[in-house]
Amino acid sequence: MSDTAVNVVVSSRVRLARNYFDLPFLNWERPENARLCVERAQAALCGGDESYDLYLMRDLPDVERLKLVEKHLISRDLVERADTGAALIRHDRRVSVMINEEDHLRIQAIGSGLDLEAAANVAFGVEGRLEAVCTFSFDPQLGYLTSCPTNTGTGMRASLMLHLPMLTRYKQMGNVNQSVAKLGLTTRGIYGEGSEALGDLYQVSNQVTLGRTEEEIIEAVTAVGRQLIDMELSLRARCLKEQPLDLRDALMRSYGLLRYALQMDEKEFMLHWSHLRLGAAMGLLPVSLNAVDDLLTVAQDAHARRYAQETSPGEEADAARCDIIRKTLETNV
Amino acid sequence: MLCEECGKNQATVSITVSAGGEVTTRRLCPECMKKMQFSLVNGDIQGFLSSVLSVLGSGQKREESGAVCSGCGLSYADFERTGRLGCAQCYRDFSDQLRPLLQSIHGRAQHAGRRPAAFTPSPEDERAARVSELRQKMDEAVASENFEDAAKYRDELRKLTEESGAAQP
Ligand SMILES: [Zn+2]
Ligand SMILES: [Zn+2]
Repeated sequence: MSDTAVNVVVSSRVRLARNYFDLPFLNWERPENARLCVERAQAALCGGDESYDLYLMRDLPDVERLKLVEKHLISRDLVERADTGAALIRHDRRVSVMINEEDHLRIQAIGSGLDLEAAANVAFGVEGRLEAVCTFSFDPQLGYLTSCPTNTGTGMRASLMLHLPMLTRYKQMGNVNQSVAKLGLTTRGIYGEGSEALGDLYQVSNQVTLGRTEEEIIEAVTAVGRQLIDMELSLRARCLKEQPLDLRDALMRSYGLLRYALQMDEKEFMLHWSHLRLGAAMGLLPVSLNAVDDLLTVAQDAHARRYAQETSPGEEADAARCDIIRKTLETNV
Repeated sequence: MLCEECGKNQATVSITVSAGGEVTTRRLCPECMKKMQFSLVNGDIQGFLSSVLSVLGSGQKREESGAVCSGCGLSYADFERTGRLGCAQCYRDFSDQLRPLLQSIHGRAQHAGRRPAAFTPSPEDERAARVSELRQKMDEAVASENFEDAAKYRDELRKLTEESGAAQP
């Protein structure tokens, strides 16, 4: 199971919301408090055996902020709080601590494949280092106190990024959303507006944070993840059995376009990317899953714009995107 | 009994409503409860909060209560508009309104997870947590018509409240 999970699970992520006990939540109105929030986190995490880089949103060019968003290291909300927002990002990019987002601290750990427990343990480790220096707002009845009551309690959001092209194709996502909601969890598209899920990528995460232990939350999200993996994999097998030519044709067409097209917008890219990942996972296309998952980040808009600036100034992002994709696919034959 | 929202379906979920200083309980069907959660499923937490808040307020017209947090000065009306609290003290000063809200968002209102390493609960905290947990379990047992367990929880609750000499709830 665990070795086939990567065919569906792109990443596992755990986020903890924490606030210092002695400062009000609404810090963007009080720059001196916002500064304190950064300094405390910096004192706790920097200079230890792990190294972190501090990013102050106000000092960062727009395109660099968006690159961090595309890497899922910071949120769009943090970018919008440009004057006070900051992030401490560990060198291996598996841990990021957003500062002065909706809460003072949002500790986030990301891992690949299906392993929320490992991600949670990393996040708790970082929390421990912060706790050695700071005291968090905590109430014995309500748990960790957060700016929004939807996070109160554990302050934890455990989420899986899942690639579900077949569940989407066979129009099962509506049913999935409904049954998942009954369990206190939610599914939503990761890319795209409203109900569309570009790249057939979905996030499954807990909605409920109060009254459950962290272990219960992780178990619930993992159990749903496993079920979706099973459903997706059996639909893939069925599709390959019933429509082998149609399936291979669709995958090869997308592969051909990704290898030879000269310009492509983000939406079209995401469409073919989904086929590329499906083909890589099913062993039907000559590319590794790691390379495909890398592309998901490095071929997004901000990355493509930055790449164009560095290599061929004046080039459009849509053309730079194709340069990046081509390079990846050529070296991964 | 029938759902107080649609008046059609059997009510199975109850929400405790605190309005204008009076506490009442509203009973809803799963469908009406789901309707409130629907916007949340689509990631629209704001919409969910205001719909819950409006349900909580609709049992009885709430007075324009001038409740203001003694810690940060946020008014409850501000919170209803933005869905964001201003500081830890907000949780205490607005606790009459927040408890039913937390209960309806999370289905429970007693923390069960990790605690800060440095936090040592007082015996009173421990007791309050146990009481709240037992009440929750009793309600859930009653809701699933598991009356035997419910009676067990009730007896335990009774013992706890008698030990501390507190008045019967
Ligand atoms: Zn109803
Ligand atoms: Zn306050």
